[in-house]
Amino acid sequence: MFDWPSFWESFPVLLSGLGVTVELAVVTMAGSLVVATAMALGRLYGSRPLAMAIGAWTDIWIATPLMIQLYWLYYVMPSFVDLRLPGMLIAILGLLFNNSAFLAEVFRSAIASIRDGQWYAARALGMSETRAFMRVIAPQAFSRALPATANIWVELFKNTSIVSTVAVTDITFKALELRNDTFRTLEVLSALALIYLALGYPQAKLADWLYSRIKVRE
Amino acid sequence: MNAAANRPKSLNRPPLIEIERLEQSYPGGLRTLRGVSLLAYEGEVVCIIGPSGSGKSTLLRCVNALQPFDAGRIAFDGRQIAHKGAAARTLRRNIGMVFQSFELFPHMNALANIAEGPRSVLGMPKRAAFERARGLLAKVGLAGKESSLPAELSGGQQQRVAIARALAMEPRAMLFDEVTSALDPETVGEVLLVMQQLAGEGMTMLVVTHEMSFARRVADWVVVLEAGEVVEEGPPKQIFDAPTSPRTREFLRHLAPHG
Amino acid sequence: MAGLVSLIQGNSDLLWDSFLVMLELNAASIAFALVLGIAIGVGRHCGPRLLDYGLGLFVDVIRSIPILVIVVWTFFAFPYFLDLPALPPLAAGVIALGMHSGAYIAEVVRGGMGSVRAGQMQAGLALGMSPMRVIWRVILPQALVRSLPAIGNRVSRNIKDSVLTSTIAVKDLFWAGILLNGELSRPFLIYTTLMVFYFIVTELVSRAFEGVYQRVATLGRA
Repeated sequence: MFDWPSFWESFPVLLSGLGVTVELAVVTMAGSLVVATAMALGRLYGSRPLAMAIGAWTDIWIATPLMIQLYWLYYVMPSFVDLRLPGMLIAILGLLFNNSAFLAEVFRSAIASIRDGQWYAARALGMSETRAFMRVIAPQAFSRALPATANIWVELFKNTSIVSTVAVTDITFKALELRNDTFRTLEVLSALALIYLALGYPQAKLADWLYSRIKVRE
Repeated sequence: MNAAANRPKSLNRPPLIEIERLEQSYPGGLRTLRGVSLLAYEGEVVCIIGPSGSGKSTLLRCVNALQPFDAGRIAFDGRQIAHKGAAARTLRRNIGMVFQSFELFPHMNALANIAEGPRSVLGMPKRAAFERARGLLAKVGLAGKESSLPAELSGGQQQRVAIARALAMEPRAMLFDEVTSALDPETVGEVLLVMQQLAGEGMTMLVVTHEMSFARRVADWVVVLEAGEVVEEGPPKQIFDAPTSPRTREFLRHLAPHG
Repeated sequence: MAGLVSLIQGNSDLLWDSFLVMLELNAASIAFALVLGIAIGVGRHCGPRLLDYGLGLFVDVIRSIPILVIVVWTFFAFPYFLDLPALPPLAAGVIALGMHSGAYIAEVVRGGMGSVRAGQMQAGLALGMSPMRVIWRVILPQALVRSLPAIGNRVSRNIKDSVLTSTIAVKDLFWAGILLNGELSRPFLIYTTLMVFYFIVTELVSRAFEGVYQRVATLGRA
């Protein structure tokens, strides 16, 4: 029988982990925006070795599972850096590397998709390359990148759940903890799913809406 | 209206295709057909000409029930046509259609495209269907192109395959919807040749076209459609050499010299 | 490097078995996802409004919940709803991954079908085919060709997500790595090797799909 009282009682405990989840997502995204911009610019306009290095770095973080990345950082970082970094920091680092790689790809293709003619037109007016980029290219790339960026945010929010596997106390970790205490697995997990659904569904719909709106403009 | 005496091929039989006071509007109010009436007797080639937007394509699509209409009636072989369901599908087996954009199935080669109708709809076994397809491919002058994909064929070749595909169903009548409008001038001729050959074999054809010399040479009857209405109809000699309606004269005047 | 070779030699049975589990898990979940995804995509594109809405709800729900949560929830909740004592971890993994990837594939297929020209349907109908037959013989094949890159993406994603099943004790390669690390305490070697392994696998899958797509792209272009 589905134990409704346990179901409802899970919520306060779970929601106490929500702060960590949101913090992780927001901090990671903020950092990713900066890092990804730098990566995209470096790859598009930097020297060949730089572009290749960034490309390789990007490929690694995109092609390997996040959970293994976190484990790798969690266990391996202490060997490189002499301090034992707190789990939270490792989680943010891992999420940041992973997320910014995906984001960098989005930015890169958005910028590259702007027609060459735009560059020529801007430079023909006498603009420097930097100014041409800031005034002409970047604004157009921004709206092209927006839907995919929204999608990446939605994915990031879900990906934060994986930090629970390296003992960071996000909402998923709280759920698994609670399950161990109460043994009401079905109820706790259902509450967890519901919270993610309540948060994720509107975000996903917003991303969908952005996709449809931007397409019309093209 | 059009006395049967005017139409040598009528042979005192009822028409194969009978369109009576057809009305059609698109949602949003655009009235495409305003009471169009038209007859086609078996073995006749009826060419439908007129300015763009006059409703010619819509008219054609009504005949094989691809387009629902609002008022009037259409009869095929004496029976009123069904709008949908199995009866409509049966109708479409008996009427072949060739499209302006060819609409060959890109994931099948030429032979498979032609054989698809017999296999899927007539339940023909694969070998027999492919045999029939081979014959038709040769008939339209493309023997040797059996395994070519549509992407590997020129526009004119694709359109000839499309004609063969429609013929594979052994229809009693064929509808041609501006089938040469999307072709390069060099390839228009090869398609018109096939159509002329078909006409010579006695196929009943409704042809929407801008190719006036083709209409003049091959048509038994020409219908001029403008803004959803039949403005004039008659044998090609009348329409092209001595049109009775000023609107027909106006339309013909605006055509490019090659017409 | 020498450490790696001896590690593999010393534990070849475990590694081989867990490799097989990884293959099984992914092959089964991807097959399930394809069938489910195509069925839902076609159902949404051709079916009645209500079906479209209902399936859309399912897809949206799956897309909103983290895959880890879906995996764990499937493992614990499915038995409850099906009145079974417990679900074997591998089965739970297959179902969870299959539903998740399937939901995304459904969207891809649905979009693919919508992108095929209306003229193709008309041409099929003009031959006397029934609408469902046109979908099956003409529209769906083209949609699938167009969907290949996105499906390839989803397959790669499935492989990466599959390591999360280690949390419900599916004995895949990652699970074996965790086990070995517990015994031997060689995290750098083990986890780096795992990273490299999955990198190679996902790259190969992506290249394979890309290669196939290059060859067959014209089949989807009407």
